[in-house]
Amino acid sequence: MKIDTPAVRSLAIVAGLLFVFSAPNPVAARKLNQPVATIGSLAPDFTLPDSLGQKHKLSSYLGKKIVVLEWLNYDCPFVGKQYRSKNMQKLQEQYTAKGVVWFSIISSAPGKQGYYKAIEVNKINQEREGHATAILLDPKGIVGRRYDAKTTPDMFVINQKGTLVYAGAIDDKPSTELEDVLTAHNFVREALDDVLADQPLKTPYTKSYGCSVKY
Amino acid sequence: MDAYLLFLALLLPGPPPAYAAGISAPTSHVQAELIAEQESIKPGEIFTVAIYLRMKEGWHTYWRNPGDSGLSTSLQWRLPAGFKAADVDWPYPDRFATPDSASYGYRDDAALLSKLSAPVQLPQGSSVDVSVKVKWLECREICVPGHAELSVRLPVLTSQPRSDPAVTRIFAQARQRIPQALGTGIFKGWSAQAFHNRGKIRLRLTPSPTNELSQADIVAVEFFPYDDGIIANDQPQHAKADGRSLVLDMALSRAPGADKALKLSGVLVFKHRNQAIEISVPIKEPSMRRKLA
Repeated sequence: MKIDTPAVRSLAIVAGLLFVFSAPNPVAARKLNQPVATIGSLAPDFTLPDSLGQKHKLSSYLGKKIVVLEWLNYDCPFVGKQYRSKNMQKLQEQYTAKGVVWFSIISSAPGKQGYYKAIEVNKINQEREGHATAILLDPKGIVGRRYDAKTTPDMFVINQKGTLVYAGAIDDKPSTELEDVLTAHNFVREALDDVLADQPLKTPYTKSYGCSVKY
Repeated sequence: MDAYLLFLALLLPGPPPAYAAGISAPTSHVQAELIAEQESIKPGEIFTVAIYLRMKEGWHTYWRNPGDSGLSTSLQWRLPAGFKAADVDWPYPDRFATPDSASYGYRDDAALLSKLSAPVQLPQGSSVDVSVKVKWLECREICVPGHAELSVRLPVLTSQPRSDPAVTRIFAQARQRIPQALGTGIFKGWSAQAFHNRGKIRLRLTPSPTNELSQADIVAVEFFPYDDGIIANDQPQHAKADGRSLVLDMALSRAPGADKALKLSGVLVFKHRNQAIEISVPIKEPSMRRKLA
């Protein structure tokens, strides 16, 4: 799906950081009519630890860096396609070299598919030769729900001004077959190239595809 | 492995018509078969085959619109010269919902019916191999891609084909779940309209003068969209009676442009009747005079 108008995607995102952390149930919070973020609006802030134990606060990058959020579940076959073909690592390597901050975020709940302890995440990341800036751990799904991440790999691009400019699929071939990455049109690459060239986005929204996020 | 099985199957003599089933590729959670409704092919005529998927308990495969996650089952036909396959007639789906998302698909079993047309010129007494490559995603809590190369061999006879009694029930049950177009068949005289209404889409269905909707119809009605990005898959739908009509309110998708969507297409399912109507109507802006409460 391709939508060329820079229309608004209203994500069911709770804007208030304090509110979310005080909310007893993130699902309930999402269902309430809290203020929502949209494509074209400031990306909602969060703080999450990475797999090496360092904390990352999104707003500390906003206004300076382009940020990619990649929803990650190593055991989802749609994610597997991207990593086994090395497509994801190449994208990470290519764009972090250009100064982009790339966060892979694991929102699988403990006991669910794709949940790993930090030490295991580091091992898998090493095996896969990942080039993300950091892999953030979101086992309660708070940040996943705040961004309304529905699938792995659901992808988000935030520009230098901190505005959410792309949300959706990694590419236009919803499949689990490795060879499809060769012929797919990569929306994240397109979005990053547009942002780096200071151009309006050709494709600000697509329907993401993949496995459901294992909240 | 699958190619090898297919190769073996092609070498083997054709099975007798009563066992005219395709090769079933054993996968972990879905068993797939290609089955023909009739025991022979008559030149120049249309016949129906089914990709019959049987899911292990707890597993599901996907409808034409998979919803928030998942992947639609896809078919790639390999037909002899002159044969043509129509698009799949999809039975209406079930909803698979979590607190965060919803997808559309099939549990237990599903027969995806496809009409094939045979060319006029086929030698009497010959036989024909119809083959299809099927790809699906099978999910329970986790998802696994599956695929199978299926084939069925049918003799060519100029006599009227006999239907295969072994598969009658599968075809009948699938047809029951295939949506019927609004205004035709049992839904002759029925009409539908859709409106944008304060962040929701309202579908109004009015039965023909000789039909009535029961409370049970209204309690167990559900709409499944063909297109993504118009209604929110993961939000509840609210149905109520309004005179002789049914009104169904559905939350808008959070996708951009949903509030300006021009057309609503999909399947309205009356669960307790095991019937479905195919809907394709323009979505109108509500008129100023008529307040939609």
